[in-house]
Amino acid sequence: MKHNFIETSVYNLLQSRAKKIFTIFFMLLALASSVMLVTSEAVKVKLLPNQYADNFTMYIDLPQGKSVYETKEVTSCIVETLKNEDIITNMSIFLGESAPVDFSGMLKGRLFANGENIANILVNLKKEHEREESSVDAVHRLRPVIQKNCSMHNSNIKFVQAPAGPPYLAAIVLEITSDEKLSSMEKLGFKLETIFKSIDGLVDIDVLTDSNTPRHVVKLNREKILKSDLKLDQVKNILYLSFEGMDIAYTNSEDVQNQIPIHLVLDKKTKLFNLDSKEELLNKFSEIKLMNSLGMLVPLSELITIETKAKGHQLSSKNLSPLINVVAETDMISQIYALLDIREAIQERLSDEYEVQKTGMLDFTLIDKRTKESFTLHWDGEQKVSMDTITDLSMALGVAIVLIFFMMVLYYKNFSLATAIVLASFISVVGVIYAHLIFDIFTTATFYMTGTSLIGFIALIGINSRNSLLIIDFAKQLIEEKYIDADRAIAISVATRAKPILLTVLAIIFASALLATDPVFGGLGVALIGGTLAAYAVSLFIVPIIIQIPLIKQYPIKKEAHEEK
Amino acid sequence: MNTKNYKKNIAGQLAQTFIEHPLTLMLSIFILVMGYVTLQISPREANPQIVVAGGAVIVAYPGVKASEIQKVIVEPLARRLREVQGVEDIYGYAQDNVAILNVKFFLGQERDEANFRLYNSVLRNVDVLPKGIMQPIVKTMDIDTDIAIASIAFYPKNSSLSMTELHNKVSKIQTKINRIENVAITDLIGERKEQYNIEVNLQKLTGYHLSLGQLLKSIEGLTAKIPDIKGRTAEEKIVIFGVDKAIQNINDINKLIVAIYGGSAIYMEDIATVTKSDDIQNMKSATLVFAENGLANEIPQTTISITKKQGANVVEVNKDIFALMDSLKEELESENIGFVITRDDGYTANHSVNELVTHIVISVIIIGILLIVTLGYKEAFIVTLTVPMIISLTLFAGYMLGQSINKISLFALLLSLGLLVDSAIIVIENIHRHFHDHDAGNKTVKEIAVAATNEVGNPTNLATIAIIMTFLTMFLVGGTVGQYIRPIAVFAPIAMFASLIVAYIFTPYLVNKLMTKEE
Repeated sequence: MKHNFIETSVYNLLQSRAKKIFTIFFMLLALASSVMLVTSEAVKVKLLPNQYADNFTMYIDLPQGKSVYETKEVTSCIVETLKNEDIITNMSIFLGESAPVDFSGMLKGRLFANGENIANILVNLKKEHEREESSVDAVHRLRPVIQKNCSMHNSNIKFVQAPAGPPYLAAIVLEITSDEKLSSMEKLGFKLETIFKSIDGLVDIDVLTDSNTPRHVVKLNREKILKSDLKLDQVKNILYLSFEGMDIAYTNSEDVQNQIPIHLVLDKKTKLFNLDSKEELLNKFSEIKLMNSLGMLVPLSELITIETKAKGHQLSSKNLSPLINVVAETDMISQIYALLDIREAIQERLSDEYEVQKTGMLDFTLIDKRTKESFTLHWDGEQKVSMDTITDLSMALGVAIVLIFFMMVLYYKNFSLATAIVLASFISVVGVIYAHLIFDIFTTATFYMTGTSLIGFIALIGINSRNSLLIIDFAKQLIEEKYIDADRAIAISVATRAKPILLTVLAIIFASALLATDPVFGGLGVALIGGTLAAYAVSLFIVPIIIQIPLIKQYPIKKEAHEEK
Repeated sequence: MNTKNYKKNIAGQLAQTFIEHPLTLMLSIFILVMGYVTLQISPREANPQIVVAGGAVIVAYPGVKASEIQKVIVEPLARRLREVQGVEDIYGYAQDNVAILNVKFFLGQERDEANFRLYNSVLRNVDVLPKGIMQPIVKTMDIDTDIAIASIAFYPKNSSLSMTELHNKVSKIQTKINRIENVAITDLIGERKEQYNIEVNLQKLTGYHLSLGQLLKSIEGLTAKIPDIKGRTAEEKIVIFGVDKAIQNINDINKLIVAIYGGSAIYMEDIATVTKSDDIQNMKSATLVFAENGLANEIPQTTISITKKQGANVVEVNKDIFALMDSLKEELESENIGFVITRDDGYTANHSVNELVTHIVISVIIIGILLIVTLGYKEAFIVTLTVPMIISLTLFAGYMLGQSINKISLFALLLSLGLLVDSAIIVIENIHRHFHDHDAGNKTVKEIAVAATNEVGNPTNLATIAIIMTFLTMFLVGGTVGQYIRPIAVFAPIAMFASLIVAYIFTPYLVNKLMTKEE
């Protein structure tokens, strides 16, 4: 039989101890360096990258108590800022109520949001193939401009893009729970906000607590009201009617779908307050008069007193523990590193005032050194799910490896062969990581190693074990049926199977090449390309070495028998 | 290789059975047709559905401060709701006048049942709540009927059309859209309703020595309604008479006598400005800018948002909705109403599905070219032909399992594509190789094909099972992400299994039909 090039080189490799050691050493080096690439953050990890879409939404929140006119100023400013963007086809601006709710909106609590101090803008972009800039890049470019120009009246503008996977409250959510005073929790919340703001790439930062606005309390003087021959509810109703107005009657009409209400209210000019003060309120109330059953008119101001207090503060709780959330989105960075940066900053900057204790994997307990107040910091949001999913995927990987190992043991009834196959499969991780590095170098944005890369890697374990299987099976067949010695059999087997393996590798690479361009599944595509290429090299050079000893051990007698023949 | 007497494995047996079977061709055509039909009728989605169960309990308690609400509503109710099975977290928000409790269930809870348990628990525990509260409202989160699949913004084309007129017109369209099959809920956003506004001038009111209470009573009396009255004549015939609606237009309100002051009547118009316009107390509004009109021109609009029923195909529903809008276009044009489609999930779903289908086709072609170069055109043709069959089988199996066609399931197919052809490549490459064996001359094509299939059968089986197992481990991923990637865990193993079957049944069959040893 003619020996081809692959067969000869594999045979030589198996015969030379030095070459084998060199190959194994080279493999270990590659493996170590690829792990280094990840730990040194040369290849960055992120659970799910951003998804491209044809739209995005802006959530605009002003502090409680701001009027619709102030909110309108913000939205008008945004529209004005965007008026020359030719990638936008249309924008719907919703003041005081939610835009048509999408899945993100639902999980971000936008379903019930209403009030004069909120607005939503739904921005539709040109279809993807009609523009050059991706939606992710567009938001990245527009966000700072809009937030710089239009954040008047302490407004908070958030940019919401369709996530690649399931949506969450925010990319990073830090829950502060504590039984201490709300003001102390808020103080800590704002300190954390400052820390968040100092981290590059964290955007749309917000402390989810409402601000204090003054509120006047009208106290009814019951004695005076009864003495004036008036009723308490009469006074309350008139007060509401004057300023808020009431639908006092309805008329129906055939050509209208709904009833037409008749709405009674004081006209704009008369109900206008000149100032937000107690005195002005009393002054206005003196003009409003109530008529008693005797037909006497009594000014409202005579019947009441006014106190000014802070408005009741919204109280949030999670499972009965008072809660304040600090939220942030990530812009072009991975939540994982942002989280680590925040943790570091918390330990560094808050340790003057608080005693920082680590609890659980990532959480903290902070104790105010002066007041001994204690606060629990717990991470939630997309970033927590990222961590959980990566853990789950790693577990899946482990299970896959164990399952394959047992299957091979079952098939070959040989532990060392099974170990060899699993080892060979695992080495393709080198290809996965280096492929990400190469892609990262050639793409402008950071090319992350994502959850889908991990899925690709899990699939690769299966693919690679097939390569090894084909080689081992044929080698065994050669030994058993043709009585060729193990080294030669391995060499022939590798040489014979090299072509179909190369073909399947190429098939996977070409099929994955289209995946690689997808923002979400790019990781998977790249993992498959790099991984199968590495697997090919592994099949040619590493597999022969690691199956050599088990095979020789398994067929020592047959080899002799062959020689006797 | 001994081809006469050897024990065949499953691969070899399948190859042997089907290699000359007359039904093989029929079967392959049937599979292809089935796949095409499945592709057409399966529900399409952009993203796979994630089932989240949860809801909000809203309890209004007018006139009570947040701190009190926290104590008398949020805390007791949250304590009680913790009893509900499957509840993960309860977020409580106490504001002035209202308490909101957001209840989040663990993932994977059956939604209807979770909703029922939540309702039940709220109703059972109403007694822990203070007197004077309004009826608690339970709003369950429903991924189908809460999330808009389409929205359309309507705007007046010129100022002659008022927003209230627009609202009247749009509500008629709303009814029409609601008639479409599988449309669940339609909602109007930013609408202005028609309303008579009586804006009272306080100075004038005081001038005439009147109070607001008097105005209130005079109008309430006028609009009080009674049903038609039946009287009888002497001959026992029925005489029907009714009281006319007192307010039919703006004049009826203007001429309303509010009081008699100094012997002369005081009319409503003397003390108030009455207009028939929109709901002035409504601080909500919506505006629109769009490119054709210049992005700086903000005009008022009313949006209809539309949701679909569970399990309905978003592509189909939206097609119906926009077909309706097309048919209304001229009518709307004549009424000076313009509209812009501001959301179309059907397009998104269809577009991503079609794009991925194209990707799959391109990949198949590329692999075909690769095989032509390396193996020869007949082999390439055979392998390429197996792909549609595998995909058809997979789609059909997915459809039977109730999976929709979405981005992730197609990605699973695209991902498996490289693997799918592998089994076929390995089988055909082995057949191809054995054609060049020195003893090939003594055997028929059929014998070689069966033997070669048999030879690589075991390792290919084992390897495919290994790959299937690796994909199955993805069922272990929990959380929403787990649900999201579930189609991969479902489709990839099915595809792999299908590829095995196809490789063993159809590849040898086609080889036998198409190839001769000389090539």
